[in-house]
Amino acid sequence: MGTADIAIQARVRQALARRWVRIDQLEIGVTEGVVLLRGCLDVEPGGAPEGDAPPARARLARRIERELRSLPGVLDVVMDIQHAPECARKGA
Amino acid sequence: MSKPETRIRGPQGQHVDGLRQARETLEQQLQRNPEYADLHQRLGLLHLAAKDTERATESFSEALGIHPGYRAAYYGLRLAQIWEGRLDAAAEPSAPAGEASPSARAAEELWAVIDAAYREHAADRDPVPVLGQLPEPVRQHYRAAFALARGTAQDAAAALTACSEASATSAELLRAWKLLPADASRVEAAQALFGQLLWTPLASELYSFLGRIYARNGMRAEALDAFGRAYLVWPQASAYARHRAEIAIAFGEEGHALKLLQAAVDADPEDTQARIALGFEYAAQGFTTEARDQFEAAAEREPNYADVRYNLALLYVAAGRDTAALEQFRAALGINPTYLPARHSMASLLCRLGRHEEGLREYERILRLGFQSADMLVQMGKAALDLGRSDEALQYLERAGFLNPDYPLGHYYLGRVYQAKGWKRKAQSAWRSYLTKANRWEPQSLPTLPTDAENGD
Repeated sequence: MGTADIAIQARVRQALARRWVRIDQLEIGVTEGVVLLRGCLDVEPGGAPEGDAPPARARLARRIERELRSLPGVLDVVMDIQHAPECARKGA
Repeated sequence: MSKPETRIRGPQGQHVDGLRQARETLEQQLQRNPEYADLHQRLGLLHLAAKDTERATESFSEALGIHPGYRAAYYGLRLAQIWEGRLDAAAEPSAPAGEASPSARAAEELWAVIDAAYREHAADRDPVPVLGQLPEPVRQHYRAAFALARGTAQDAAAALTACSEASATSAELLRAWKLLPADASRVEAAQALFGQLLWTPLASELYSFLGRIYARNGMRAEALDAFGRAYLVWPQASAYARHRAEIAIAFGEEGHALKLLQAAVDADPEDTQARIALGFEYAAQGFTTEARDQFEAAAEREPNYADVRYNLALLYVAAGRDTAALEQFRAALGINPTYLPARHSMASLLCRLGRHEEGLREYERILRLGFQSADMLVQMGKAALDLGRSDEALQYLERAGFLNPDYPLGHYYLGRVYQAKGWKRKAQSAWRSYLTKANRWEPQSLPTLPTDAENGD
């Protein structure tokens, strides 16, 4: 049996946390080695001023996808995400 | 009281003004989502921290306009009004309308006592008797804050000493800030630090927000300092350890993060967030039994948290406890019926258990939610194939091929469908595609071809 989905799930979360991705804005799942990210790709504030510009956000998404694909046991990564400015935030 | 100094040089030599970055971020977010009450609340706290009561009042009022029952905004607004002299000592807060969770009730009790202490202070009366209603170590922290703002050097030094004795974390922080041993020579430095802080437990969340900004800028010491400030204004040892663990995770220090998260759970076994984070750290390091213990404890404390149920289900799957896993998947979906990863994983488990009809029904529900992926459609095709429904399988697999023509498994199962239909040449062609795509596919855990795949007819 390959890497357990829960171990992949935990490593996916670590990888996202290292990029300061707001995990509470995403649904993160792993099924038989296939990672599913769904929701709003938003990062904690701070970092470089250009970090929030659209090309930077698209680059971030690609980098994250590449990183997740390189994790042990990951067979595929499915990203059904919106970027922070486009996704409506929930009220308090 | 002095203006907070937050302009600090980062590791790359850049100047980082945490408060300014926080304010700009919040203002940008508010431009996009002006209806989001907690952004107004956070901005109100930022203004209050900068001693700008007028703008703080505006922001808290905005938050309350959107969400009239927002108690944190109500207490923020009251604090701004007390500072402006618009509320006197007798102006008791109103009782909250409606039910509140035990943690929200406990937080409000704290805010109400601090509110009363500020009213006493504004009326030039000693707030210490009021602070007696606070639990330790909160009482000692606020006693020290008021003593430093009002009292003699001797009183302030005594209060600082009491503060350091209130908890190990308090002592550790005061030592790090060189405020111990608390004698008259250190009172001035203590007054400078304590005077910069916004002394209300509401501000804890604001300092944590600033800590994350510094951490994201690679400024670890400043981030730790901000998390320390969050602890000073609301001493919760478990939250402080959890924040430090966040930094350790961001800097790739897994072992350290694990220790800090364990410390967070030890400090407060009821801290579900700490248990979840600890569970994930254990899982990432392969300690699935320990991870399961944490998620089970979290599920017991927060039974309506779908994410906990889902991850507990994955832990049961890893342990081969399929029935327990299905129960947890169903619990997650009972809480949040649109929680797609839970439905996806449950459908997959049902199919693996040979319950293809049920699995397909769950997959169909996902399609109705408007989501599809090549991987999911291939799983559906495989389930239909196992049920002997090759036409249905063909439809799913063709859809998968349309979504991602490079997904090797799609070609593999398409070959199996063609084989089932007796279309050998088409099967061969699909398997040739499979081999070509699989060679380019990085992950290697793919099925081997049937033994007759290489036969010419």
